[in-house]
Amino acid sequence: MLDQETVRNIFKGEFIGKEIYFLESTESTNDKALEIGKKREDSEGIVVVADSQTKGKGRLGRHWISPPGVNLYFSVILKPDIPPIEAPLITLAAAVAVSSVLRTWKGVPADIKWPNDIMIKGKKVGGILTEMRTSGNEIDLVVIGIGLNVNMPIGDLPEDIRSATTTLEIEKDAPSDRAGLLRGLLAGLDNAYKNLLNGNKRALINGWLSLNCTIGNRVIVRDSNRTITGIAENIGQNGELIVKLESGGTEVVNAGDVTILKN
Amino acid sequence: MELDEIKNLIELLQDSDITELQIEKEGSKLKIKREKFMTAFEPSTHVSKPAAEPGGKMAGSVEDQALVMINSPIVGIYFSAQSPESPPFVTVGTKVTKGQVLCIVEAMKLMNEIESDTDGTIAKVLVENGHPVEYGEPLFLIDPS
Repeated sequence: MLDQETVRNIFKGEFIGKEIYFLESTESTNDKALEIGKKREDSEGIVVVADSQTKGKGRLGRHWISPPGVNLYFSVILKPDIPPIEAPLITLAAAVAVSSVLRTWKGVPADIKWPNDIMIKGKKVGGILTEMRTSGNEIDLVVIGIGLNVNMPIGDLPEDIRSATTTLEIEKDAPSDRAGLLRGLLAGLDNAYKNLLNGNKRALINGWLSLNCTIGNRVIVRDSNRTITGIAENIGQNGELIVKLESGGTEVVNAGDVTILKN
Repeated sequence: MELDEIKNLIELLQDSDITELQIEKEGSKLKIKREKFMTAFEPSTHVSKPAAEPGGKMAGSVEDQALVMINSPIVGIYFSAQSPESPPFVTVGTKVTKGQVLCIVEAMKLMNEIESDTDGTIAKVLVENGHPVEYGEPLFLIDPS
């Protein structure tokens, strides 16, 4: 059961969890967090949790299915003192934190599809959408939004995405306590953020590599302008996907949808 | 001057130590100044030959106007709108206020909503929707007047 009383004091880390807000329903926890972050100078570490979202956000206006009473939807406000160009590492750090917590707390073989989809055995269980506001070369605000399929009946999803989606309940064959899981995830994120601010980028990249299911595979990458096919070779220092093309040569990908091809 | 010409000059400057460049060509005058991240740019318009007013009196020359350049703070893909179905955040002529979101540059599923750091009017949009942008690449020119 998630409610204001349970959620308010569920976790207080070094950075994350200074205040935790709970909403029965909101359009999008990211929008709510952006609103708070813009109003308050001291908003770093504030967390917004909702039991349901009416306009849960995915990449480029896509919809994140967010029914009440079953899943986790939350957003964390950060104000990191790093150059914007390094900020994409935050999204990789969040993915490492979420998949590590799912492995250790729930015992499921969670891994990461580039850049930060949380997968279990090739099916998506969680998504992370990060929004950053910059002015000039300064970060004003970063909001990390996380949606995790916990106890949702798979029938709540549109038919066309059911076969590519899973939930923790399906994988564990039992429902999970959402409050306990939220506590674990916030602790994992707090730790990952601390490590990132300490400048240990290599450890983060290595952590991502050890948990990913993309590198070494044949992939198709689609973005708004092109589709490329090749072998996902590695990631760059800010998390870019490096693809060895079948047509020869190498491409560095910053954004796009990755499909892993089965060999 | 053509947009591509201006972009080429800006790129040339970015790869060099030159901080100020002034060119006069076919009645156009262009001055580009670099100051750390923000670049002043003046004037955008052709400084046209003063037009003869009825009665033979010459009009004064066009006041030089510094334009503010908004650059990309990250490497990524430029999006002019929140989603493919949404209208663009801004187009040429849109009045903007400081802090208003002008576009999104995406990298690694981090959507960087780039804010205007000045009040003004969008004078030029320098990148096409869906195209890659480099660190520091100019995205917009804003007329702050």
